[in-house]
Amino acid sequence: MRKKLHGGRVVAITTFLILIFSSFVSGEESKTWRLRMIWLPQAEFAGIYVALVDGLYEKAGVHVVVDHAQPDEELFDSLKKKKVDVIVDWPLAALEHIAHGEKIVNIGQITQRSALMLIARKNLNIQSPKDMNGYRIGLWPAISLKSPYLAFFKHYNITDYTVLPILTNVDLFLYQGIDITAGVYYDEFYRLRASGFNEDELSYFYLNDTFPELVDDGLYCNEETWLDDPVACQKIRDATMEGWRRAFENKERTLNIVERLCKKHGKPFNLPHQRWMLNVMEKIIAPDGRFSDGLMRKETFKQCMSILDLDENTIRYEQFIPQIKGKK
Amino acid sequence: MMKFSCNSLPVRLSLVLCSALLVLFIIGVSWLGYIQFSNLTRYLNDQAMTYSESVAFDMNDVFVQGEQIGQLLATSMEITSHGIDDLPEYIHGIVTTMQRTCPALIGICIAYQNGILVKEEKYNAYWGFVKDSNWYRMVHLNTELYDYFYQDWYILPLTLQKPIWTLPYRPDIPGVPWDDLMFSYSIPFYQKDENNERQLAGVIAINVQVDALVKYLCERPFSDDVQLTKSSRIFLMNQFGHIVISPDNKSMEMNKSIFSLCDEPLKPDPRDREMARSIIHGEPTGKIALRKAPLLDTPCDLFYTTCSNRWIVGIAIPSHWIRGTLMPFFYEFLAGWFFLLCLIVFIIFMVCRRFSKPLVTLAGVTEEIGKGNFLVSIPPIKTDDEVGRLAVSMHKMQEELVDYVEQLKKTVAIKERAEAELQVAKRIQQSILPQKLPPFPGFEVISGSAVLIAAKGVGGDLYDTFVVDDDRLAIIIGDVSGKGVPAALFMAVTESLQRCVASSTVPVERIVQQLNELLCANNSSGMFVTYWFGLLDQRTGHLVYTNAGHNPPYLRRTDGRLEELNKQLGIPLGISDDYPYKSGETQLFPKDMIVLYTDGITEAFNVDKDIYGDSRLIHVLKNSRTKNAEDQLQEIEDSVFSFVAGAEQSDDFTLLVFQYSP
Repeated sequence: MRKKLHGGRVVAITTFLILIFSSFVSGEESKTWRLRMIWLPQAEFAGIYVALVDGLYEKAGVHVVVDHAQPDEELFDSLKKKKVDVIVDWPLAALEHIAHGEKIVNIGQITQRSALMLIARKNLNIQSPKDMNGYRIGLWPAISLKSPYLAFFKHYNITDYTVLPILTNVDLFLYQGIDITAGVYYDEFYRLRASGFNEDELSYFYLNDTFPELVDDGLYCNEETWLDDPVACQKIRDATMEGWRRAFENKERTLNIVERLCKKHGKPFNLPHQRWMLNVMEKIIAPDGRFSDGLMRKETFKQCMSILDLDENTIRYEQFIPQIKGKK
Repeated sequence: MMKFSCNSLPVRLSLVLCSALLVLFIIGVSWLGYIQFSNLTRYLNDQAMTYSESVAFDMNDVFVQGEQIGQLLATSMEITSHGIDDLPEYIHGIVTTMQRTCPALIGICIAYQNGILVKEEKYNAYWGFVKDSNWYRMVHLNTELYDYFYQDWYILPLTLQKPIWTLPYRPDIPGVPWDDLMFSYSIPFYQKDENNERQLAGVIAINVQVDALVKYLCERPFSDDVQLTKSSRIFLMNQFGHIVISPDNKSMEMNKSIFSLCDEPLKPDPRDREMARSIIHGEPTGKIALRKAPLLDTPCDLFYTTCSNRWIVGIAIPSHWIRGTLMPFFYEFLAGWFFLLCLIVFIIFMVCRRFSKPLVTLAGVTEEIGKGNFLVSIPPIKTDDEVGRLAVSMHKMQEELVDYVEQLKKTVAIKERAEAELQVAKRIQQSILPQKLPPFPGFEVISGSAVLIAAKGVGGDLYDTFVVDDDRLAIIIGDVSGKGVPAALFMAVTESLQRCVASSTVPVERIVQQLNELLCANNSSGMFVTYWFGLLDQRTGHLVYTNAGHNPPYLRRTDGRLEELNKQLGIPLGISDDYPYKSGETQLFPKDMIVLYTDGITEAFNVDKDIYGDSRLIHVLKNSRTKNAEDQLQEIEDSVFSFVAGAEQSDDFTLLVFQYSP
């Protein structure tokens, strides 16, 4: 036992010296972490923007730059091709990619609930998900964005439907080119409201009502990236969660930051929409006012596996959500 | 110099008239103001509505032309197959023609589906556009650098398989110098495939430059005579309420909608949203009021008109603008009326002063006359109106007043003299009546008491007692008809004559008859007297009497019984000289009392005009416990006076009481 302890101490000291040495060697070439969002600039990512503006990543010792995916971009492909280091994406898509042999890990789970939903006109009389058979359904083209909905359809055995691509707006739904549209409560639902729909004129189904443990945005990277620098990954997660905490503390400031970023990227900013989005994000990130530690719950992992009909032996929780040894 | 106080007639008259005028002024101004305000509000609303309609009309020109060109092009593309060689030239020709017809239409993009134009080539689109009349550019979009398959202008009409008007966008094509906003009329087109099957080949987009449309919104005069406020905003939105063009308001950027604007305040007004919905779902033109939606910095009225493509032209005008526009008119209107009011008030005051001046003078004269200065001079007023007549009347009144006062002085002197003479007559009449009642010497068994109160200075009641012989005492009471001096004189005559005719040897009825004959003989005035004459024998207590129409005396027995001495009632004296009077008789017992009275007792009235009456007198007599004539008289007198209780005496009042006490 003593030997073991002694040996462990030696290992630790050696590791520390190596880290010090490596920092001296690569100090002037500190890594830039490319963080890409799943969608265009908006309050959905406000916590990350606040973390950037407040220098939380820099304070943690990680240099992070952010950009945004296009609606048709397969973010996990970008990750695989190492175009980015960390992405904000959804867990089902990540697990699907892992099931196909890719090495991806979740280094932080931002939302604790899901805002995903399917929305239809009330006059179609769709009263339950099973009534969706035979309708035209609009889904985003990216596979990772489709996967929760496809799982939903599978769950309810909805097979007779036509998928039409939807982009960054709800115009196809407005022009009645589709009967049902995929959406999130913080974005598409508000867009419909801003197009004159009242809530009582819409039928809508939250995916969380079917999959209570389903969550949305999380931080993902290649397993290799994690193994290279788990501490930095963890710092990115912690700084991101702190950014969200600050984002909700002063929402008007947060909205100003989002507005500045939208203008910087040449994207329109709609204050009531972004305010609505930030409020919804607060409800799914900190339900009942409680923040998580940024780790995905085991139950969530299990449900995601179950949704995808994946055997728990093929992907282990510890594999998907790795942690630095000695830490919980 | 006239002095004016708050109580002066001109001031009061002016105040009353001005108050009435002010009320009328307020009512009139309010009513006229309301009418004017309503008319002008309607006029301005009509102007704003017309403005939005004319802007929509101009917009329709662009929309209709864009749609017609797009549809012709789609038809042409289906009929005539174009290749990559001739398509750019074809587009150039159409754009050039289109530009001349409608400068706002600045480009055409014909975008093919994957592999339709050239097999194996995913992207194939040609976009020809102009920036001005001398600058044309053709772009071949054939790389993924501009993935038009995910652009709204392409994917929406393709998916819907029907044309749409897109929201504004910037193409953002690498290497293409274009950064203006534009929107498009996008229409899908069809071509025959190898199997001669009709297939969806792609989308034609007719581009409209946003800046070119701004002039339709902004460069139109609002009205010939009304300037639209600078804080008003005009904008174009699509059929879902999304803002398409908002040339002068950065807060209404293109990604916003009328509904998101309604949501923008921290505490939105839900009525704004319902109003906005009424635009989308209601009438094609109209006006709504928005309270909090920040179309402007203040609550506003939104006038809107729907275009041919279901887009909506809206003009937001501050709600206070109409009021603000109308207020200068209203102030001018008010000032004009106020000036007029002041002028009218001044004129009223001057007129009142002018017309009331003689009245004030006459009032002063009247005051002097009231103080007794009847000879004060009245200023001459030579008008024929009421004031002139009043002055003449005052002159006449002054003269008559002087005459009247003189006459009054004489009349007063005469009256004073007559009063003095009447007092003398009264004293003479009282001297005629017995100053003392028995006991007469030798008639101690008969005691009596009397009272006579005349209603006026002198009266017509009479009474008397005198000794006829050694045993008999004459007792008389009478009442002459009428009052005053004539009655007093007739009473004096009666008093004088009765002593002459009374004799111990002549029967009672004969004495009365002789007296009647004497009174009738020289009674030219037709007066008469009720008369009761009795002779009481002191030795026997035997009473013989004659009653000539007088109230019957009462005989009160010692045991309390009451008898009327009313037998052989005749007519009053002085009426008929041959009337045969008869006598009655009765026997008095010791302590019996005779009560004689005139109708002044029984016909005495109190203030309530109730009459004392025989019944009250009988009641007093029946219930009396008095033992002598004087007490009995006093008791009756007290009863009568307590009944009348200060009421004015209407008739002479005479009461006599005798007691037989052998």
